[in-house]
Amino acid sequence: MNEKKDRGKQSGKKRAKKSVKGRWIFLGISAVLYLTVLMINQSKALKVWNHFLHLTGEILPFLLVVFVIMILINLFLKTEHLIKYMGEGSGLKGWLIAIITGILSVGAIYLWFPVLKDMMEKGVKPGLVAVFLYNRGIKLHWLPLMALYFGMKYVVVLTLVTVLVSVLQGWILNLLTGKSKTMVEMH
Amino acid sequence: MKWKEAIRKAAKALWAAIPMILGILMLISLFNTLVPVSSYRLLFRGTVLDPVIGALLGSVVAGNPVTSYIISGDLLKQGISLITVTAFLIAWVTVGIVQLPAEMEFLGKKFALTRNLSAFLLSIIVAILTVVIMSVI
Repeated sequence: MNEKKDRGKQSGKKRAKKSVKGRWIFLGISAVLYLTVLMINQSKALKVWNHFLHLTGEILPFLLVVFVIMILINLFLKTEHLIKYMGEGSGLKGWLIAIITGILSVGAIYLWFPVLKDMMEKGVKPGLVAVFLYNRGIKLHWLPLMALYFGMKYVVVLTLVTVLVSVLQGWILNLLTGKSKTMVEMH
Repeated sequence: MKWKEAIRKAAKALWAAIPMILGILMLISLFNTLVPVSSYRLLFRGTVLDPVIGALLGSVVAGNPVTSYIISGDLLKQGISLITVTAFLIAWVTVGIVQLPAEMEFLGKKFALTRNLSAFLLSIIVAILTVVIMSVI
């Protein structure tokens, strides 16, 4: 039994190592693409670099927010709470939490991936993670500007339709990915 | 879990995400700089396929949603249909081709592919529903 556990731990470590390697390879490919542009057209490459620095500067405060959220999740969010509110059998409450937190969440989508991974590992349903991600499309703070471009009626209708369709997407994700091994079972 | 342990775990997870985040930022910078916004409207031909093209374009480009409002406003002025523009707007914020490798890495291949593909199809449905509702109220 213990031998089996050790083997499981070792394969988990191997998987994590491979995953970290993959992330650095991804960064390497992006760097190679940039270097290619640099060799072909230096002025364009400078523009790309400035854009990159601008974006990096923009996300830094959000990274700090994500860091604090991750600490708080580690400290206070127990697996049993997450399963109760957003796991199997969480019902309407789970959907509402996913919609509201999705709308209120800030920062770029990829900053949330580590947090969501953590939550899925603790038993949150994939459909609710999808609902959260879909509702991130509603940017409360930008709605007045959107209304300026497209009118208030359009903004209200689009927002309501987005919320409704997010539930449909959550249902699709639960249907198509929910039956596969959950992350909780894998760890 | 104690504070020290919680901070260590969060720092480790965030550090592991840094190469992916930097890679995505570089890809976005490359795309946004090398493909001019003015070239977007050349893709639309005024056919029934326009909403699909709009959703495809919205899936590929990335950046601040405000940029998508400005581009969409410009597309509307050029006579592109509201359904196409809405599909573009929604795909911009719900589908992410650039960040797909990161999503697959963190949330799993099956989850990421299913989510992005369904979000792409749903962006067209959202566009149709929005415009239909707009026309009846």
